[in-house]
Amino acid sequence: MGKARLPAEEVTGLIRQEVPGSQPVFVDPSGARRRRIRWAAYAAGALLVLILVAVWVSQLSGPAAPPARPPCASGACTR
Amino acid sequence: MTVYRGVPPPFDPESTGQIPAVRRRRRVLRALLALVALLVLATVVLVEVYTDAGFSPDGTDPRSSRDSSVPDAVLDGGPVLDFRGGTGESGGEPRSSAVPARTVVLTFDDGPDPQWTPKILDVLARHHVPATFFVVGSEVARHPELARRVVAEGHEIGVHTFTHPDLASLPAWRRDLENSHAQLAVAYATGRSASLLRPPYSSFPDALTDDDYATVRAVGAQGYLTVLDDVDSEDWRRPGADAIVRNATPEGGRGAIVLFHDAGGDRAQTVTALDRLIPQLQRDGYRFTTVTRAVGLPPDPPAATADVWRGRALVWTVRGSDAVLRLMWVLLIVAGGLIVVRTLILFLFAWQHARRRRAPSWSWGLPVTAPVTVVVPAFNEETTIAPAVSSLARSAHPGVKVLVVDDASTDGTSAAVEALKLGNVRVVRIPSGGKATALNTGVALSHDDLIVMVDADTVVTPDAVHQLVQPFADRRVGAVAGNVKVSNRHGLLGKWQHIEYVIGFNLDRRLYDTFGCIPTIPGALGAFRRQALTDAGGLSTDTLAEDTDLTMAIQRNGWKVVYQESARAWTEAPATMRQLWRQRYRWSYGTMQAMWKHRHAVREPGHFGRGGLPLIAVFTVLLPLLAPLIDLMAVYGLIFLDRRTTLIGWLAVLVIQILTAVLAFRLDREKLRPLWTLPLQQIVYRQVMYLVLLASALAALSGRRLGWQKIRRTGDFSSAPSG
Repeated sequence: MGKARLPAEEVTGLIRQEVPGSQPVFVDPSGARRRRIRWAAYAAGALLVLILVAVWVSQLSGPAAPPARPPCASGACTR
Repeated sequence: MTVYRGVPPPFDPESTGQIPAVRRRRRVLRALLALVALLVLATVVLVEVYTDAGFSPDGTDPRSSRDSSVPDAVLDGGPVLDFRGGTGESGGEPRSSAVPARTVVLTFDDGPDPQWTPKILDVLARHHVPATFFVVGSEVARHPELARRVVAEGHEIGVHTFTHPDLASLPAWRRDLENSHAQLAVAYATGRSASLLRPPYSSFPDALTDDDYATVRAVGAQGYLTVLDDVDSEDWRRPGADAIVRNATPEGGRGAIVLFHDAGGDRAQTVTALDRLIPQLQRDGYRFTTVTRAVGLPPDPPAATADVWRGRALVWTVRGSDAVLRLMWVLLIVAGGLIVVRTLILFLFAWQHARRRRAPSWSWGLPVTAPVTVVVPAFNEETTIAPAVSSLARSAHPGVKVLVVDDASTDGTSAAVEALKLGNVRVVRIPSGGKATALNTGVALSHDDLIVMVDADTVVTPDAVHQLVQPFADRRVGAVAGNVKVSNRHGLLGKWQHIEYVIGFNLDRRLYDTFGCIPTIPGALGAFRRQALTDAGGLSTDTLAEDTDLTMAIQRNGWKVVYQESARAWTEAPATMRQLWRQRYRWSYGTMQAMWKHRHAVREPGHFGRGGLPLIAVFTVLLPLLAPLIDLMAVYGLIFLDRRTTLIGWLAVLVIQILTAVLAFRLDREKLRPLWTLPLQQIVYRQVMYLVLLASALAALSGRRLGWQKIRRTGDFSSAPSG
């Protein structure tokens, strides 16, 4: 009794622990999700650029004029 | 606090993200995306400010009343001005037309208005009289169906600009833009072009000033017919229906263009007055007609297809911008409501929690004196490990043992501990495996039933360990969170984090404790019952926030997790923005990972899943993600809206935060001095905090692998009690 040292009193050098090889949460090792999101973002960006260009060009490409009509001089107007 | 290093992300030969050229290209594309988002936002803001007349001077500024350049023929002539008689740039000679005798043209300005225009249309329909509506383009863009109804019921539409500015005080390009946009909006809404224009703030021909006349000439040269009026009902003053009827009745059987308004406030008097005026004039033998028919012109032709398309683009742009802004307001209100609710429940429950704990009758049960093993995981902590371990070894608790788990440090960490030559301290060296593995090893190597985990950069008070394990007197308690403080409070960054920690530990954690749903036992100071650790399966490497993950797992197994505010520790906080960014990136990402991992707890019985997890999700992820809106709308409001109101709103949020901080500091008996940095915190720190959350949310979404990072230690424990 008392001859053998308790494991807790053993001088500990290296301990190898088995690490479970589970995949961390959210991580997508294939990168497919990332690729899909990247392309969706690029597509949305391209669409927004098109919309922006359409809006700005359509609104600033020269004033919209009132209809051209025969002037009053033709006698249409009454005083 | 819990900042630790582990294995770097493994090299992935499948990924193209490590090729320098690809990386560069992606960085450029990312920047372009951000630029596009910014441009969209800028367009939305521009459109909103433009359509809400933010760029439009109103006609109330005093102007020159000189009319020396206005021909007498115009001043004394009729209200319809036509400059199309001649040729040339400035148009031909003005020709004034008036309405024939016993003829009335009812004109309505500033509409369409969703409330009053339909009522006025109903009155007109009842009496079978046509009228002319001078519409504001931005209102047409918002209510095209009303403009459509106006035309469908046989009325005429003229333009009254896009945003109702005083045209005479605008530069020519802006004036043309106003009229053009009004023209386009009408073209889309009604399919017709408009040749009639009434300048805002105009009245009778004899009130035309030099500036007005220059405008009238210029738009006349473009082909517009300017329509002023003969009789002003003055309904905008709301003088009562009788007065409006009186004002609007032409004198002595003369013909007249009568001015009314179908928008811009309560128009009930106008509606009532019309209902009496029209039959009265009809009895007097008056004929009702539109402007073009009154002066003998053909009605306006259909609009060009191109104009209809441009009008469609304009209307959809206005609608889209309105929707974006409305969404932002709604989210802002939701965020504001959440902040208020959160503050109220924080105040209420934290206060009650503190009172309960301070009451002389408060006790966890019989004093806990069972032996405790303190596990300290360490990786390259040479500078901080010695004060940390010696403060732990000197803990006033019977049988405290300190177990330092050296995770393959490459500096003198182990040597620094061994140099202390303390009897109750052991060091074990393990191969590199990360913090969770180091802690699991420490737990496996200890024999005690109670285990305290402390970071290697953390100094504790002598009674901290003893205080921390007292809640274990309750058999149901599986883990205890300690009260962690920032030790290096020099500089703004240190003070900001100090404030954040005090609030987090004294309000948030007390609240969570009350509800029995503490989300995290800080890695810097926490105690565990061995059985609870075993039930949870130890610390896992699934997430980067192994402390949060473990806490949630313990609670899911039915154990209680409590907060012991009297167990205090001082930890070293990141000293530079860069390190802070990395630490918070990992925390946010790890917390999201842990919440996602334990999402099924929502369907499990028990406090934690039913109430705690959703609460944590709302307050730690959703609400901070809405925080950028507060800044965005504050800037928007400060530049384009009422500055005073915006400032008051922003200051109200600040006051709420100051009150919260003061309460937290009082509860923890901290000096209030560092609170002077709170207003500054709003300008840098807050933004960094939500950007970090945004970045980590994106990383979570895209499934990126995040590695651990190590922060640089300085060993600054100046605010910790010496000992």
